Amino acid sequence: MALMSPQPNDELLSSLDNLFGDKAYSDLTVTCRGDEYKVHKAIICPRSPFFASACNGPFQEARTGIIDLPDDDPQAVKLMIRYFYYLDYPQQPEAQDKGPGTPNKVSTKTNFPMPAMAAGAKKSGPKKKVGYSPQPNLTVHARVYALAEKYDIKGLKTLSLGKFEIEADLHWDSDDFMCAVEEVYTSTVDEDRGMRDAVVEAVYNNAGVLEKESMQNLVKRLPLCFDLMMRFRGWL
Amino acid sequence: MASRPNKIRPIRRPIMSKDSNEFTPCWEILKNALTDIHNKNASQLSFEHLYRASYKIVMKKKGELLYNHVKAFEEQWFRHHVLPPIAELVSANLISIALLQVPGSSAHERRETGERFLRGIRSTWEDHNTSMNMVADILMYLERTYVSESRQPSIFAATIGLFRDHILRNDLGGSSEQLDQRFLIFDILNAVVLDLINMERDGDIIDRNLLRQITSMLEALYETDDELENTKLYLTVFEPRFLSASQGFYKAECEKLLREGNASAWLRHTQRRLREEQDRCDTSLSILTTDKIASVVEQELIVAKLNDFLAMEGSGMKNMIDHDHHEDLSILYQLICRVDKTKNALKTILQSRVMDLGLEIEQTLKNTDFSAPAPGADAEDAAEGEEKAKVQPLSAAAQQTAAAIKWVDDVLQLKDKFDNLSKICFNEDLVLQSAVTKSFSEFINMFSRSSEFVSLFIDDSLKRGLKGKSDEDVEVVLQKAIILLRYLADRDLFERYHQKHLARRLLHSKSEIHIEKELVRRMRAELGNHFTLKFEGMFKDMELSKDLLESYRDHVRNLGDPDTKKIDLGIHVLTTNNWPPEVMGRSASQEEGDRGDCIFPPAIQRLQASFSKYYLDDRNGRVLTFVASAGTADVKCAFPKIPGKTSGPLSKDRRYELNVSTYGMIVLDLFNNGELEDDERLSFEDIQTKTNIPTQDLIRTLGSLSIPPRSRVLVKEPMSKSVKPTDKFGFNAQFVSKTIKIKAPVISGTSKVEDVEQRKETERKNDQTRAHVVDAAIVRIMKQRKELSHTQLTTEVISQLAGRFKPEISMIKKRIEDLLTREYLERIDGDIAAYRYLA
Repeated sequence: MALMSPQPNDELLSSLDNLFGDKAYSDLTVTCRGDEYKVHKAIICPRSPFFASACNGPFQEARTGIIDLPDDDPQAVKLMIRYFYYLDYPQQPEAQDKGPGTPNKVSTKTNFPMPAMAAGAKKSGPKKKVGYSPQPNLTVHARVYALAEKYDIKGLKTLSLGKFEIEADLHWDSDDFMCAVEEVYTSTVDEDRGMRDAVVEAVYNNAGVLEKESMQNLVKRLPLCFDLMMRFRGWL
Repeated sequence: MASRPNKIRPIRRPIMSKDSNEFTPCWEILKNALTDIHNKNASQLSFEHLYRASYKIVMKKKGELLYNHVKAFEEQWFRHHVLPPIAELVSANLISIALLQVPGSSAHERRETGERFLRGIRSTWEDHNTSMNMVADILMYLERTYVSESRQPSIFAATIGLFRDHILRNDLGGSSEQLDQRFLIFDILNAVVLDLINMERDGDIIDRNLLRQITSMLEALYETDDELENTKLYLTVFEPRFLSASQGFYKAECEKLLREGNASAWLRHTQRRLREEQDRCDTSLSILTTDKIASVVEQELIVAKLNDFLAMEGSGMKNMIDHDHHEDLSILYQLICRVDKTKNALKTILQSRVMDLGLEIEQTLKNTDFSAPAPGADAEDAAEGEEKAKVQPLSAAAQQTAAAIKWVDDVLQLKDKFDNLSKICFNEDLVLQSAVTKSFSEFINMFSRSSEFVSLFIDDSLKRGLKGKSDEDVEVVLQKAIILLRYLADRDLFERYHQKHLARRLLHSKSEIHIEKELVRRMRAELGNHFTLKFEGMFKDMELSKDLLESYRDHVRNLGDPDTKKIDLGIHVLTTNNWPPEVMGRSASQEEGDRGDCIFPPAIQRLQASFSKYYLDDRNGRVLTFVASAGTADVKCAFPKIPGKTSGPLSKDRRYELNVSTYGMIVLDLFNNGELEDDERLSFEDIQTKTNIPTQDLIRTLGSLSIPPRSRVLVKEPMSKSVKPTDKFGFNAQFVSKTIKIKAPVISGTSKVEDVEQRKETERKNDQTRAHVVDAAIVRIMKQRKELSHTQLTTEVISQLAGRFKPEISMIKKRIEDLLTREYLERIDGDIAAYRYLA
């Protein structure tokens, strides 16, 4: 990529890049089972009513400046925090041993492919490693999605859904897909159609997956059964 | 590069515990938290913990259950913890003060009791409001999913509404023993607030902040949990009561002000009340009410009795105008602007005041004695070195002129007064300005001599005033002239006068031409080209004459005929149409029949012939007439020494330069040619026969030469103050003057107000002209329209002529009759009131 004089948008994004994990201006700590993130209310609160209320109310969190999320998936939380600063999260999360709470400064170019590049990778097949993991991350996306729904971060919902749809098309017959289906149908309320529709669409388009026993079990147990029926009938 | 394959970890599902009856523990957490929140112990609670609890319940599809539990909890809490202290506040004392207006309770007592009650309500509300906000925060996820799906009122609306249902609408178990009817706490609240507001209106200090918090509460509560914007309790319950109570208050106040009978106090009071109410809305109530309460005050304090206040004897609007109470009028204007965009009340009084004051000017004029000369005029006369200085009192004509100038000054002063009002008080309001202008125009035109007076004012200012005056002074005079001109309806009449006066000024070089031109330029801008056509023609004549004279003099020099007794000729060649008939000598010939021209002395006749020849040489077809009545002559006179006198001026030869009218020169010539013996006398008739000067002119001429001592070069027998046709005249050999240059007063040189006869004459002439103009207009209109009804035709004529004068309807009718007989028009068969144009 050629070096260009900085555009206003790039300037903002690079300043967010600098802020990420920077203790200097941090006024809020988010913890999750041992992970600790130094974050900024100004960046997080406007995008999530949950964080806004936690910081602005008369509750303990506002007093201590620490929000603990003991019940949430650490990996999803990590990606959520990433998202706040980068408007994206990596397809393939870094290994745990890099150390929580001290996220590396990494170039967005290598680790955070833009959606357009991801789409390009899809065309050229999964074998090519264009910043794209051959391994599916469907479960991860489903969990990020559920977390975004819980804390009402609309942009993150859209983002994770988009990633899920792309990968589901490629990895519908993976074990990860099976896990993800279960996750989707148990982690959000029934009224939330986003991920559910993506799953139904993937199964409908790749009906062969229904031959797998693991899939059949899922269909038996989950309301997916009803959704699929409607889809095959053309009503959904 | 993240190349390490990602491990898929087993799914942990802490949210979805196998225990399906997870509602109870979660609700327990929340219930305890709600209690803590109400008890203000929230700072120890973890928001995340509570959020998670409600999130879990929703995930378990138990949203509805949670919603109902919360509502039930809050209702119960309300009953047990909130209501009892409030009920305690509603004491019998409060009820009697607020709802029964028990006499004898002092304002202080009422205020104390009322404010205590309001404070109780306020703190309860604040606690409740804070708690409900926190509860809504905790239950955010419930709100976003279950509540929005099920279209229930939001948690906050449902719980905040408890305050309305259980406190404001609480009747505390039925009617109190003091009251017959059922009442609500809300009624008490309203009554207390309104009582406090009335106390503040009466000058007490109240807790405005408390009031503001109470009304904010009412703004935050709605009739139902649907929370429709226009169903705020503030708007549905409080505001109507506030407005109607205020209406009563101000109605009474207006009556009181009316009894006090001081319009100025009323204005200030009303202005203050408006400000107070606005202030009240800003600080104590709600800006939603600002406009509504303003209109209540406007209605009750301004509109209701406006005319009574305006008409108040001694302080009403008449008084304000007459005494230039600018501040009062400013307030009045502002107040009236609020209630009436047309400002009719203001307009009507202004107009009638202008009319009355205008007519007063005319009245004053009639009652003023102008016989004592104005000091300014006196000084002017002395400076001119004329004989008039000693003429005291002023002659009748000069008095008239003074009256004209006073009238103009008074009118302009009045105009200044109202201009000032407009600028200072009325924000230069166009509606009022045009109304005032209309009234000015009306009273000015009601005064029959306005056109003449305006012209006289201009004449006087330009003739006497402008020499040595600065440009600013000139500008003021010009502006005044134009202002007055705008008001005149009979512009043709003014045109006639101005033409006459201008002619005199020009011919006698009494004014500065560039100022005259500037004035005419402005007239043109104001009234149009046709109005100034003649004036411009006059200027042109003057300029052409100057050039003509120079070239004539060159011509004479080139003839190489040096005349020893050279007479220097100054001449103005005037185009007949541009100049007034009086100046052109036409009026004289009309009056006395065609007597022919006067007889000039032979030397002058030669000169005339020489000039005529020169002039007509290259101007074929023109007729040159010498107008003796309009000119002047400088005559060098020699008075030989009187034999026998050895001392004094009479012992020497005396030479004087005498400036006389042309007629004067002709007369003097009779005594000059040596045909007369020293003491020979010529009778009036002799002189008239020899000169053929019209009688009136001759009387004037002889008068100026034989009566004033300063220019008495002729002796008159018998000596008297006036010239009679039986008098005889002779050369005054004993004439002595201290100055070499003597000016015989030129009677026609000053413009004076016309006497009644002259005036009638002017009007008659003007009407003649008007008749022609109306004829022309009728024919022009009919030619174009072919057929018209009488009414339409009349309207058209009036509108066509509006810029020049207002034709009388009777005149138009007469002109139509005339045109019918002359067969320019015919009546349309069977329709008596319609005409057809005959080509």
